[in-house]
Amino acid sequence: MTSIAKKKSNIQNQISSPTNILFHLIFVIFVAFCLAPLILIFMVSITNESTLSTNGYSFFPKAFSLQAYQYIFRDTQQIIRSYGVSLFITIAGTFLSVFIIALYAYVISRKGFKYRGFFSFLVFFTMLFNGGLVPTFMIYSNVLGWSDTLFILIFPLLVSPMYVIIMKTFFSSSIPDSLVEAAKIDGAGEWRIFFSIILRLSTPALATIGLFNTLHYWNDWFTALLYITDEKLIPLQFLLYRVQSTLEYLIQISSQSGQGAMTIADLPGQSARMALCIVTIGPVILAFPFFQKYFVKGLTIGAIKG
Amino acid sequence: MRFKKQALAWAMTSVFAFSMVLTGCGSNNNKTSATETKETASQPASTTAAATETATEPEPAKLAPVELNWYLPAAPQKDTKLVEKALNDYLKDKINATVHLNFVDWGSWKDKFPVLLASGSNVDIMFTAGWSQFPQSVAKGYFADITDMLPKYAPKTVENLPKVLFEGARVAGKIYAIPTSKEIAHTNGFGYSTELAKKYGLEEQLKAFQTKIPTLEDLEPILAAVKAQDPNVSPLGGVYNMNFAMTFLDFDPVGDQNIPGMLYKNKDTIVVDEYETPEYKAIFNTMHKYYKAGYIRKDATIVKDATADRKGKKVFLIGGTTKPLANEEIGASYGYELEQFSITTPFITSNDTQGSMNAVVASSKNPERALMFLELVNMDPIVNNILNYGVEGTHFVKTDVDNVIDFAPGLTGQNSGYFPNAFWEFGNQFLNHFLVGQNTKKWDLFKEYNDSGVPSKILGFNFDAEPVKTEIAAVANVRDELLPSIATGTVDPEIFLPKFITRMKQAGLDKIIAEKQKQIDAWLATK
Repeated sequence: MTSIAKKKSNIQNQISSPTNILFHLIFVIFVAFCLAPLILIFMVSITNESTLSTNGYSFFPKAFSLQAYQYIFRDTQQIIRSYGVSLFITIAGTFLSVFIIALYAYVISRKGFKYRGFFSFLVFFTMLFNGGLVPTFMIYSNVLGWSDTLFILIFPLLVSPMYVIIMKTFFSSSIPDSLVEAAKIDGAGEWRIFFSIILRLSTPALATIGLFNTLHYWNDWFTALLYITDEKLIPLQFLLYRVQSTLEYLIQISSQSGQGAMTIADLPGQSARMALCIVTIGPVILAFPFFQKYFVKGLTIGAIKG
Repeated sequence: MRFKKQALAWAMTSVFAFSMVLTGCGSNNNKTSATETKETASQPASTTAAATETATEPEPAKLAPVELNWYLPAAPQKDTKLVEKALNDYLKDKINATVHLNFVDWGSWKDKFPVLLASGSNVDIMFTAGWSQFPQSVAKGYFADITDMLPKYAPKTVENLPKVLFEGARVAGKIYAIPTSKEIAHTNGFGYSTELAKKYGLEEQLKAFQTKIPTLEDLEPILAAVKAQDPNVSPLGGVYNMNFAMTFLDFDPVGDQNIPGMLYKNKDTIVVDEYETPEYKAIFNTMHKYYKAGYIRKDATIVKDATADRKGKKVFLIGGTTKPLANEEIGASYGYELEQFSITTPFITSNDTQGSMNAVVASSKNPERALMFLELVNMDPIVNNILNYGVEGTHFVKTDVDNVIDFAPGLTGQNSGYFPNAFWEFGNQFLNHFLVGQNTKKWDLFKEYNDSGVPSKILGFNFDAEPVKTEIAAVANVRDELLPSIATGTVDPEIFLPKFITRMKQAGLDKIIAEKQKQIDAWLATK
């Protein structure tokens, strides 16, 4: 049955219109399910705080207010700066990280490399064991003195053992040795083989790792929490995390007594939380379409004729 | 096979190498700290002499300049540098120290401070509290024992702070931190809108509660009157974590009040499961009666935040702690006039005395100077108010009334470049200037209130939760699941309380209680 339908559709290159409508409907509903929470988040973020506490979340709030955004953007300069820091570490970090991971993975994927066992083990070992938080902090901060530098925001996430292993598996399973040999016979050196042949053929893997790394760098706030105190170097996620925790503290203080409580008028609590979500979504939703073309391209490129 | 062997060999070597690095570090640290103490002991005969003089007459010339790093949990402020400068200009003539205020925002504090302490970073003074791992930090040796140094470098603080306050800062008899002087006792009670009380004609009845402490049953006529006159107002409100058994009975929590196993208030030192006591059961029964009568919100168990109800005057009796003037200050934030009455007598537990402290870190190079600085934080109004309000003229201005200040023109608590809004962290609160609109009798009333507090029989005891960590987590899960519906009166305690108790016991409650008893007995034996 299905094979016949497939054949038919192949010939006509389209499906019958009732099926078409049905599929569209299914996908429209599916998309609606995916988008609804996002829209709700946005609506809540522009809802008046007291309306929120009396009526709860709603797609069609009774009273609007931009108070949450005003609260978050009190210090616009800082937000812009943090956006810049986040963008920089995401872009620089992703490229550097993909490059280093590819280099490492390629080397340990080559069967001719004498010490590949040892270097594979190094990666594997660090995947299972690490020094723990305090020793790591001591090394970075006290020994190397990298606190409060842009570098510290990039460095700890540079090589993730998991990705090295994924990359190595890709190299050894998708790129045949004969290709390397052929290149060698044609007179290519190791660097040329790597840059002109291996990397070109590995775009799907590079894009995957790149996407993971982008998300990693963009969402990382814990590194900043530990190492960054300089306001100029605070990435966006950490800044917003701070706004959030400060807000929670103030709301807590406002229900207790003390001169502190007297200074706090209406604070956006829940709406600010949602507004923070909206602000952070930013460039990351653009990352996937960017990488997507490499997924497709990579899959369609063939190398060796079977 | 060969690979395996190799791998093993490498694993062993790396483990060895790693442990060597660790031990290397350890002994190194010891050595440096040993030499340091020697140095501090021999070299500054002058420093010590100078320090003793500072108590009477500051002689900054004899003090070498030092830098002090102070870490506190607070929202980072835009003008911190400015305030540091003002502070340090003032300190130069006093103790010749440059203080750096390191505000760690609230979300990061609990992750960051243990790392700072464990890594031996450059920290001299660290904020600490019972809820911020004070006993654990002392046990790990992060804080300096300041018992002997206190009288020498912070004599006025020792003299002026209530003695009972220092009990909370003691571990095994030694003092490890300087507590912040604020309210040290606690009373539970209710606030109510005076306007609503007048409307319902309940003023007289409610006033009477201020002299005679009411029980939960005594409140019934009030609740009934509110219910009858105004269906829009919930007499008691309702929020998922309301627990009138806890507030009315005020049992002595041994450590965290969310971990079961408590003492009767000032009776003996026998740890009981409070949920099995007849007193708790009676209150739960009354609550169920009230719930059925409609005095409590029907959806109380799922209400997470009652602030909106309170601000909107949708609830009549607002539960809370009733320290002096709490009604005025909370009223100012809610926007209407409040009156309050207590349902317990002032009581001092370790949780009250350990609420906010500052410790000198053991690895500090200048513990004496850190203490001298803390002495100023606690005794010098200028230092204290710079920390709380910022720079005069820039962030705040004095008013005509003595000791009353206002934000500088155009500034509010929300847009000021420096307003950490953490008065309870920066030393002696009795030195705080008043903000315009605040009752200036506050500190006198506080002194009176503190003096009336009765200390707990186990004040100064710290419960080490480590041995029963798993049980505590399991018990907390059961508690979160079942307690809200019982405590808010939503379900019948006759049926659900026994179920709750059985589940708690299955989760390991008895083990927690036994552990608490064991630790208390051991602590009492050393006293």
